[in-house]
Amino acid sequence: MPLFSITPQLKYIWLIIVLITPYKTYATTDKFDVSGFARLVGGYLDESSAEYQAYDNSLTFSPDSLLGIKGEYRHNEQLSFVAQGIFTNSSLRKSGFDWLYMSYKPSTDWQFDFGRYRTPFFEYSEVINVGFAYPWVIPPQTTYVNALFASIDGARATYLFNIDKFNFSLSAFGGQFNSNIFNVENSTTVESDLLTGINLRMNTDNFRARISYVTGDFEIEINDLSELQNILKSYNFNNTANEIEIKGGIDIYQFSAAYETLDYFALTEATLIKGDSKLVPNIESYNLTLGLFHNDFTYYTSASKLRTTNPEITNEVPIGVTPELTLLNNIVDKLIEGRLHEDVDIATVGIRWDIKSNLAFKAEVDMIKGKSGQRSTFSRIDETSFNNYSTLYLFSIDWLF
Amino acid sequence: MIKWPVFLISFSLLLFSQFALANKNSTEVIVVKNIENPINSITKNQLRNVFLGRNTLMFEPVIPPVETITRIIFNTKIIGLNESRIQSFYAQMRFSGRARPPKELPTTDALLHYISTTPTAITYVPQGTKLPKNVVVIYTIVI
Repeated sequence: MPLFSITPQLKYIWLIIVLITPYKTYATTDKFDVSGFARLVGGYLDESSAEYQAYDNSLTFSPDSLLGIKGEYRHNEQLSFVAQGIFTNSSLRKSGFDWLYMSYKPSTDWQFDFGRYRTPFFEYSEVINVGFAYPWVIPPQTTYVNALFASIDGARATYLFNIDKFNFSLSAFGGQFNSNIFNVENSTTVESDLLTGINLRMNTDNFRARISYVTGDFEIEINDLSELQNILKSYNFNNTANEIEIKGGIDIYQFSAAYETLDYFALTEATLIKGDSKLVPNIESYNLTLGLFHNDFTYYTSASKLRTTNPEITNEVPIGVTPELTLLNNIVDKLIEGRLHEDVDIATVGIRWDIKSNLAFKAEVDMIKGKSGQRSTFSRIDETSFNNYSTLYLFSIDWLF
Repeated sequence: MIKWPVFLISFSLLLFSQFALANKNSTEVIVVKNIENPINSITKNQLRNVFLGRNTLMFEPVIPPVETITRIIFNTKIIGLNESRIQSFYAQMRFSGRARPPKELPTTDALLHYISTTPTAITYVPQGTKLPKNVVVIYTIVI
């Protein structure tokens, strides 16, 4: 395995950045505005018997490195059109437009957006690709590994208001998702009928908080599973057949809070994902980050945790009646046992150096402790030799232009 | 008899203290707006919201370049965050479509020209700056 890997596509992306930035760091006119972001992220996992989010024990650049471009045309003060996309060679995300919408702002306190936008599940979901926007090299994976739906097509409305010293932003959205979920092993087609949500942000002095609720129906197409359901139904094991369906409602709850001063900050976020499907676990995540600012440097440490609980599924298929039914019982048992078990604890220490107002260097160490017998958000593990503990070394250069 | 090196050091320190004093006097900051804007008073909290894109008042903020002394004072005294955190915040606003960062203009003259020609604009400049006739002070930052 090579100790250093950077793909030709990434080299090409960085060549474009280098060519663009000497001319202008920011192109704008009254009507048209072009800006962008880029990040080069390198990572090394000190473990040969596992992979974490596409990082392995060679220096790898492709999983989180990307180039993003935003173009905005302002027809007038109220109406604008926005296109924003990323170019990447990552196996974790797809190149293309993740924002493509018309924005209508009839007053200073109302804004309506129609089109494609990133689903605002969590505090940093909308800007997960913009490394400059957050302190870490990658946001806590205990929370952000769960952000399944990248963008949805629909509408959102945002209302800004003040009560005394408190500033609020209330946002409601609805839309449809029909695309592929990407992970390092494969991609899976997910259909969502309608995803709706509401979130409220509050700011006062140095304190801010966000609370969010998202709900929707979804269906994941897995051919082998449909065939198994049909076989179970043909034997009249309808309860088991229904319980192994990956479709139904999903509810996502989120709370985050932050306190920031000129010298230090604290950020915390808690999330809960609950689905109707018994094949999909309920997922809870928590993270807390504390940091210090000193001149152009930010020093931070995080503790984060992910817990999954799988609902009980009844295997109605008897064993010992016929060889076929015994085999079917084993297959259902394997499916039940094979559900996601992702419990993991991560401790992080890191540093961010703001070299310029649009350029930052970050480095961090993630100490990842999984649970025996679980995958624990690792994308690959060799169960015979992995001791459920590894350290991920990451660094990044984040650029705005 | 005073030796030359001692004299030079003393003289330099004297010059530096005078410069620092002069600099201190010239770094007090006033927030200014166009006289046509009907809003005639603003609180520190409202100013913070205006310049962080959480604006429910009829104001369009414009700002001087990074590392301008007035910008450092404004960030410290009003926003309460350092420049890198504000830039991170602006990146979050810009690339999530929630708000636009304030327009940046290169000089005090350019800022004042913009304010005098844009009824909704608001900015900050050093105290003592000669203001155009249709530009008025709405807030004074006391250091």
